[in-house]
Amino acid sequence: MATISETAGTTDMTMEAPQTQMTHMSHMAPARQGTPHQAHQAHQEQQGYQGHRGLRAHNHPDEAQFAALVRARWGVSLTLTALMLAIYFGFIMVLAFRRDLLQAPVGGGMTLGIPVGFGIIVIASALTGVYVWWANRSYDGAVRRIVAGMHSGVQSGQQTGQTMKGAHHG
Amino acid sequence: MASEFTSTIGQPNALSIGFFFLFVAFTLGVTWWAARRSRSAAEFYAAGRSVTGFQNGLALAGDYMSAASFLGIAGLVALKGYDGLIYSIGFLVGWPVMMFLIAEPLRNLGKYTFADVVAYRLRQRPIRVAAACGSLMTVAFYLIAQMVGSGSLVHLMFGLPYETAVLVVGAVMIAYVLFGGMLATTWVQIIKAVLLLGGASVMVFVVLRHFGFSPAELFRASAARYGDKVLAPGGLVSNPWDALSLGMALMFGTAGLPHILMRFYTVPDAKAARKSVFYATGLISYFYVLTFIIGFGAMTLVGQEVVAGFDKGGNMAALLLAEVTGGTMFLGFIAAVAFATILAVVAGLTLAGATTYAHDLYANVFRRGQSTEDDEVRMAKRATVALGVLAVALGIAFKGQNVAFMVGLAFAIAASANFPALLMSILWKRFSTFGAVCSIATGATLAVGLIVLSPTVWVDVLHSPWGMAAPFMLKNPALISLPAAFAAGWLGSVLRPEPDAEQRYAEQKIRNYLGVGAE
Repeated sequence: MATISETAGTTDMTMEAPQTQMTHMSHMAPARQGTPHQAHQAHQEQQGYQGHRGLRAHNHPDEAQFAALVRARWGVSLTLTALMLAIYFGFIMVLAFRRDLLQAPVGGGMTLGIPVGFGIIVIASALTGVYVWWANRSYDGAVRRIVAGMHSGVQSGQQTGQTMKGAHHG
Repeated sequence: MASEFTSTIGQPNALSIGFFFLFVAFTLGVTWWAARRSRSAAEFYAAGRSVTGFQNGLALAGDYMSAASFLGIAGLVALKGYDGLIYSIGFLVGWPVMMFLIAEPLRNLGKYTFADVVAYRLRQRPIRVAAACGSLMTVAFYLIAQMVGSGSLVHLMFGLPYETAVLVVGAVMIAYVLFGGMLATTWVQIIKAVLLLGGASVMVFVVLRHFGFSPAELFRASAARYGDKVLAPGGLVSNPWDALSLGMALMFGTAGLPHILMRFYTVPDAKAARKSVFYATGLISYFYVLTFIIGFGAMTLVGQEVVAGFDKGGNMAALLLAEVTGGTMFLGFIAAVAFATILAVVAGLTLAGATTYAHDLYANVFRRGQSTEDDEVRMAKRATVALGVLAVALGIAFKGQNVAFMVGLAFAIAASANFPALLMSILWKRFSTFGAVCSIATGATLAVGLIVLSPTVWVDVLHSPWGMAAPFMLKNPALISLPAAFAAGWLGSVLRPEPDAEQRYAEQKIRNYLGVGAE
């Protein structure tokens, strides 16, 4: 899991500047004529999907804001994932090595295993609740702000305004 | 009570047949309604992205609450007690993981299949072929297990011949998918989920009424009759490596099941996708709590001897309990719901398989992305019929075989072939086409190869050829095959980097995290 979070981090850092990308793309374009990817792109466009290219060229999110968004998203996701893994595999390890702990009686004729088992079920649901709560409260707002920033960038630019609007709600 | 109890299970029961026909008639009506809304590709594969988060939560839960988990887990609890709960927990914990890692990127980046996401910035044809193999293998093993299970269950429940049961399931399921596409499949799943949760809730209510609405009283009564051992973990988890390996397959396999992943495309956006996993997890949790109580109810009110007498695996526990607590009428209702459950699950699997064929293989490989939408839908419909016929044929071919390992295998392939490639394509900028193909091929080959060499197949199915002990010790291969698939993906990407794909990663991220340009 640690490697994944590092990966997410590094990719943020190595994100290339928009200009460099554009130059690359225009150089690459003739070479990729007729490749399957090109075909796929055509296929997508045919089905009403458009705006990708223009978007990359002129419509960039604020880099710092966007990097922070991605970091926060994986920070929360990976923490919750790690928590779920730890709880489940912890439970499995107790079952494998210290089964007697779960056989201990608790009040009312029950064993500890029953509340622990139900507890894990409740926690699994609760963790999804935590994620939804966080995403609704924090992530969605940040996305809206970044996208609004991209929009205002479009309106000040001149040529590609039309494609941009199509792209946002495609 | 148990000694004087004679069951009508296995005899044709007019009430259950009546309930079943009612269900089929109603759902075919829904299919007829859906047929007019299932013409375009987005409608056929993704219900026009018109399903709400809550509806999709119910449908996802429906896909997961198969007859195997309803009848099987209730039976496991009835015979083994606490160990059944361990099983349920394993199947549940994959859901939060899927939500945290996969759900939203999948919705934002893809269109109809998870291969859309892997192929987003990589070369289409190699990725589509590899991902389609992973998908189709997962679907095939899951489908065979469901078909064989359905034949035996229906035979046990209604006394209907095995082959007739498989044929009925195949025919009705083809009708749903062929005419109603994803919209009908989703609504069949929703109706069935509501019936199943409702029926199970009523059963739990009736059981608990016997014990003054105190679960503790129920557990005490069970322990008084069968000993304290039923309330504590027994022998299900004895080898930690086995447990770890199965745990990995269940945890990450859920996030690689094509028929589950496909459902995320039926909602309008990533926010709804997220919401639907929340509802699904809650509903599945509730369902597993119900099956636990139903299992103990059957143990105490029906008796382990009676349950085991009807079916060694305990599969009839929930039905016997229904009969004991609510008479023939309630038995008929629950049996019809169990039958409906089988239908709905195989419909979802068949649709996922047909979509993989038509969208990934036909449109993007054979026709290189040049086919029209109409062609694609026509192919998907042909594939539906072909898959349906194949499912019936395989269901009959595998009659009486031990197919229990196939669900574990489906999860192992999903966790090893589908999940690593999906996650790496989302998270790793330098992931290349060659890396993805290596990862999928390694995961699929190891999952299948190792399970054949494992005690699960080598001993239980092949009966130790040449008198050899199983060459691979673990019952589930995920502990080896999943890390190997990640390693192969890394190695392949390092050996054959793809600068072109790396450049497109920035654009993929914008669509992934902001939903800009999502379908």
